[in-house]
Amino acid sequence: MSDHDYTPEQALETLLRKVGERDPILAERIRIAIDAGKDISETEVPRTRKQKPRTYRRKVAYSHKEALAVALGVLRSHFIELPLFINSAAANFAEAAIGIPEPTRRQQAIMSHGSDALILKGAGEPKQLQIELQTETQLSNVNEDTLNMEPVAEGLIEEEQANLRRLEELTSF
Amino acid sequence: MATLTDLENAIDTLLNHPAGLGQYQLVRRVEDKAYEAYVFGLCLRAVRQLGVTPVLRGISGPPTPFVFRGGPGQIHSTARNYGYATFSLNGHNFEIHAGVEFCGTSDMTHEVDVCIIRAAEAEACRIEPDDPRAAGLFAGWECKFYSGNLDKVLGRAFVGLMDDMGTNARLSGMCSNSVHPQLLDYFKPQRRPYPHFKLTPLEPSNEDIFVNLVKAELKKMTAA
Repeated sequence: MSDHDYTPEQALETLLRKVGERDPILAERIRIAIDAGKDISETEVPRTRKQKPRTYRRKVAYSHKEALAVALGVLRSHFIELPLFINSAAANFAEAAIGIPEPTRRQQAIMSHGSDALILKGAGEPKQLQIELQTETQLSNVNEDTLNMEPVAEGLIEEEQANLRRLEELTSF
Repeated sequence: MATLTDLENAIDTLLNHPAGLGQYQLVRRVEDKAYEAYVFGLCLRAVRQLGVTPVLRGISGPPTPFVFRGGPGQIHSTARNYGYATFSLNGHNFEIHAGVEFCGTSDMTHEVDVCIIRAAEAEACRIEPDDPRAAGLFAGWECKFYSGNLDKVLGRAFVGLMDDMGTNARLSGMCSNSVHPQLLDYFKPQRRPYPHFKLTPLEPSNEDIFVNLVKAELKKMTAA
């Protein structure tokens, strides 16, 4: 017996409507992921006793229950994975050193690298990572030149994971 | 018994959270590039696990901040102080780049999302502006952030790209947080790119596979 007073179809409609009201682009991404459907293997019933059963691939739409899982997967990618990618990059870049070309040969910690002598600094320290928004070939102006990739506090990601788990419970039938 | 109101409240809680819609709207323009930065970071991790500290550099000065290209670009471009990393292993010098265009064996140019390139080739292309030749590529990865099933066409395109990069590349792979079951089969034949699917911090064992492959190939290449 279901623990919900709504059907999977109602749950999916509610989720898409609520997301769409707040962010149509995200709702569209969910819809695209759902509309891609899935592959299944179907077995043809032999028409005669001599015939062997034949299995073939067929593309079908997701059931409403499956579509709910796909929708939650999209939300997980954007709300959980994306901040985790940024945090992982930040952690790995922090362990690298920054190479500063040496103007004179007096400084310590010099590393010979190709034709350059470098002073190495900042290993183990956070680095500022930016992504270019206005690319070098772009004629049209965007408002900002670059975007800072700011790490997201782990506690916040854990809270959001808990929120997503709650939503999973409410959309599991 | 859960009601529709409970469901609506749970959706609101998820969307209104500081790591929810607000954060998503801030970074969605660059999600592919954020994924490239993540894979670049895994390369740095592999180098570090080999006992070497990778060094971050910029095309025209110290990389503070470290800038990732927003689109395919040339290794010698000084439009911004684009960042890259350098490291030496057993006397061999390498560089790690993101979004750099290479000249394929057919003379067609190709963008490699994240790559490890022989440093001499990269340096030569900075001194005398040119696209690096395919022969200079040590490892190349296609990086795709996808929230649904991965698009098959991306796998086919990357196989074609790597085919034009000749036989000097020791390692190639398609990295995505997503998966496509048919692409797993498509990548099975020898010399096809490695399918690094579900490569995400949520699957640490997949991160280990990526890092260990990079380490193993770098060790093999520099052992002699």
